[in-house]
Amino acid sequence: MSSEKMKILEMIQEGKLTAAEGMDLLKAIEEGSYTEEEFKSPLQGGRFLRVRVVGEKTLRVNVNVPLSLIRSASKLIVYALSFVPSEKRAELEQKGLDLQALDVESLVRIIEESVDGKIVDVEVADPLEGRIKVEVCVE
Amino acid sequence: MWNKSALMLMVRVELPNRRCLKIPVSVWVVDEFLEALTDLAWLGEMVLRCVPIPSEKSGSYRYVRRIKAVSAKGIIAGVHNMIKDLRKYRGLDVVDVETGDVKVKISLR
Repeated sequence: MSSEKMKILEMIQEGKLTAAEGMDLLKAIEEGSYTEEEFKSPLQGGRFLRVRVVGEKTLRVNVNVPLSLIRSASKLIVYALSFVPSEKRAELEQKGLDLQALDVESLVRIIEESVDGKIVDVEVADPLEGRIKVEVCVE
Repeated sequence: MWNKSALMLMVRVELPNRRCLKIPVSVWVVDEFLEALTDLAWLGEMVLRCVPIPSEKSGSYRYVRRIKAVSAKGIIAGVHNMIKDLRKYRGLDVVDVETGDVKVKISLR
């Protein structure tokens, strides 16, 4: 039995995949529609930047972005920053944020190499939502 | 081709009154589209090189300079890399937002 199939069976046993999901994956491997590169559950391997916002009433935000995706998007972010109008750029500079000096690629590399665990853990009171808990972490 | 299980980026928006909007975006189709667009972008860049920059007094000066400074091929390559990366994360819920009656979910299926 191939290592991919064994891995799927293990993941079903550990409850990381449902039996139906496992069946789909096994079928896809047999049909050859998965390459080894593509066979990777989001639950295994790879690090994520996770943002969670939970309010007391209805607000619930859950964002999971793979760090590798942020790395490949960093070049696009640099491009996007070049489109910020000069007036807004000057406005941000007055507030202490120099967009030209912002090295997004290095920032992503630093996050990848040295950050692990919670970066932000804040609790604020909102008149509409009540208590809002904000968490940003790399795991 | 059609019997392969394609990776889909599912955008699901639930609005008040139980209205639900589901937009499936095939990652494979976007990938192929970008592949095809790369040559066109290269052609566009070549054409743009021939466009003269208007004088500084002209209103279009800033826009033409900005467009010339951006490499369409570079942007496409960046998006292409992101798509390649996405392929590794089948089953991932990228965004899940719930506020009041509105729910937005973006996931890879």
